[in-house]
Amino acid sequence: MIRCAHCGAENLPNTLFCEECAKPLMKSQAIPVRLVSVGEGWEIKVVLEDEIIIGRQDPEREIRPHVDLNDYGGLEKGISRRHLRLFRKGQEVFAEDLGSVNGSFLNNRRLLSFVPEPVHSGDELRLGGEVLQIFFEEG
Amino acid sequence: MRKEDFKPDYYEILEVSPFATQEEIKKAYKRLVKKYHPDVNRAAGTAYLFRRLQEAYEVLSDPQQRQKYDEWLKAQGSYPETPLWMEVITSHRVLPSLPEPQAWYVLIKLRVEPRAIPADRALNICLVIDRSTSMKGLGIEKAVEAAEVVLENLREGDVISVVSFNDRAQVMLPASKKLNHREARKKLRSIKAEGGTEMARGISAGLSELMKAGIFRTINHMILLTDGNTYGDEEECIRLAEEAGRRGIPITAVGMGTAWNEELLDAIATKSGGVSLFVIYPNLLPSAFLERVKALRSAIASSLRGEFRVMNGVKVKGLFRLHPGVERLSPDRAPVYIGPVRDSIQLFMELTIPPLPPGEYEIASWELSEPQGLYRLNGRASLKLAEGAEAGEAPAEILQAAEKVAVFKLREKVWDEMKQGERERASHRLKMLAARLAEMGETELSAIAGTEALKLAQTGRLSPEGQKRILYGTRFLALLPPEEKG
Repeated sequence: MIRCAHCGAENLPNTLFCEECAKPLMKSQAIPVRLVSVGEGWEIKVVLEDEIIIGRQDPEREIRPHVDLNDYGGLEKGISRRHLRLFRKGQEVFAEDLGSVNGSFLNNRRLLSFVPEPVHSGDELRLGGEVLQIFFEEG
Repeated sequence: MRKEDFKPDYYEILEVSPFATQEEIKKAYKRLVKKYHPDVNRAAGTAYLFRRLQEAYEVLSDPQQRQKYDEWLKAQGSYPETPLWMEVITSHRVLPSLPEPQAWYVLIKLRVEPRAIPADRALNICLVIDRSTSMKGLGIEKAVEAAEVVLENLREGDVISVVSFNDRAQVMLPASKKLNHREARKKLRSIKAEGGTEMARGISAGLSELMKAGIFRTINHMILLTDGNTYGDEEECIRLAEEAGRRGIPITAVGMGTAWNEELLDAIATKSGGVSLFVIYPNLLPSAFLERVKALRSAIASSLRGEFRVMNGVKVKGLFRLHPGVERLSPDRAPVYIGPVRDSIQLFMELTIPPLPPGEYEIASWELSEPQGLYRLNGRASLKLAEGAEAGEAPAEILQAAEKVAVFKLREKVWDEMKQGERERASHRLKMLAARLAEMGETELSAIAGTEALKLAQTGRLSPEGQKRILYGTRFLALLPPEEKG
């Protein structure tokens, strides 16, 4: 059985809308994401609802990524303003390089720009000169 | 069905019509191959779909193989002899094999190739109008005006008849092709509102006018208008509606104002394959009638009958018709009547799949047929259960349909709880409905539901107008379904 997050009613697996309150059930739960800097040890926690953009904030150009790496030396490390996008299809997470200058690597393999690839908990993402390990759980 | 008889529906797999050109098939393949390529999509079960896609393309892209396959489909009764075909969309093609029951959904969309509408399909319409005392004044005036509007929009070959009723029925205009408009108008304007309401008499007289005109190859339809309760002949009304259904004559039951019996009009509509409509003000009658007539113009046959079967152990939780408004068809009582055969017909099935070992199952099958034998379509929906498969996201069309049906069912529950005198629960649920409607952007309807929920908590009932508005508002969400556009 699956439980409706809104009203608590039990529904059969793969039910699309709650039988008790008609709210959507299949909109999967948000995924907690933890990004850990392999070199410096700091970590950032975010919640992945639909998508997360990682990059560097630039208010003048109205670029406000969900994860702003300016404070972590993003500029020196060659991180683009809009560098990488994490998004979700159901419970599966994908990473997509947004045409960044210095590229994105998943487990040491370069991602083709704008070609999403599935990411799993524990995978290593390299954005320019910053190596991040990604976890899908509360730390 | 025996195993060796089973071939998948390649057209369904490629998401194209059986009338698709080679070019369309190629395009569809290119699009889907990207979606299901194992390098791109690693969800369990994708490899299987990918193989199926290859297989379908191999057959359909080769004109000789395609012709052979079409012949096989024809032998199965699945190939449209006429350009009337079905699109079947399921919530998932592959689901995990689970030790507990799970939900599965099927959407059946009927397609009519516009070029296939036969030119000889004339309308045979009977208007059955309530002329009891309560119709006095604007009611009867606008009803007559609505009838005149229908008259003005007839074409050559169409047949019209008009019946009025109070505690007796009177044939105002006998079924006729050649109409003297001036005479007809005079007759209509002579209708006087007086007396009681015995609707069965009106329906019965209306049916005989329709039959008199001959119902073969015409688009037969009754439009029934009432503004109040009928007295003591409800059962007879339903029996007549069932008869109309069997004969392929759907009834559009129009309730005007707020004092009529919604359950009865719903039953008349559902049993006959028609629709029930709510018209709050008399002024709106002419356009409501005209819209119905326009909708009938795009029909290729009067009526469609559906018979549904499911695999042993599978439970049908609900069978719904989505257009023009959401209506629950009772699947346990075969056959069901679906209404005029038109492009926008959509049926939605909610099923419970029992625990089953991995394998491919034909979960549901159905036959849709026109009572006079003009058209017949067979369809089926199959599901693969695989160990450890992941249920991906359901297609957008299924989600949209399921969302509307969920709102419809929530409203149904409010009514049930109200009937059982569970005031608190009904009111609480009506609040949930209001919240849901607000989320869906139906702000006006949401506000009505919110106000009525308070009223319900205090008094145990809804205001007559609020009740009708919620009942019909939730059925006709995202109003103006495709048919009413044209």
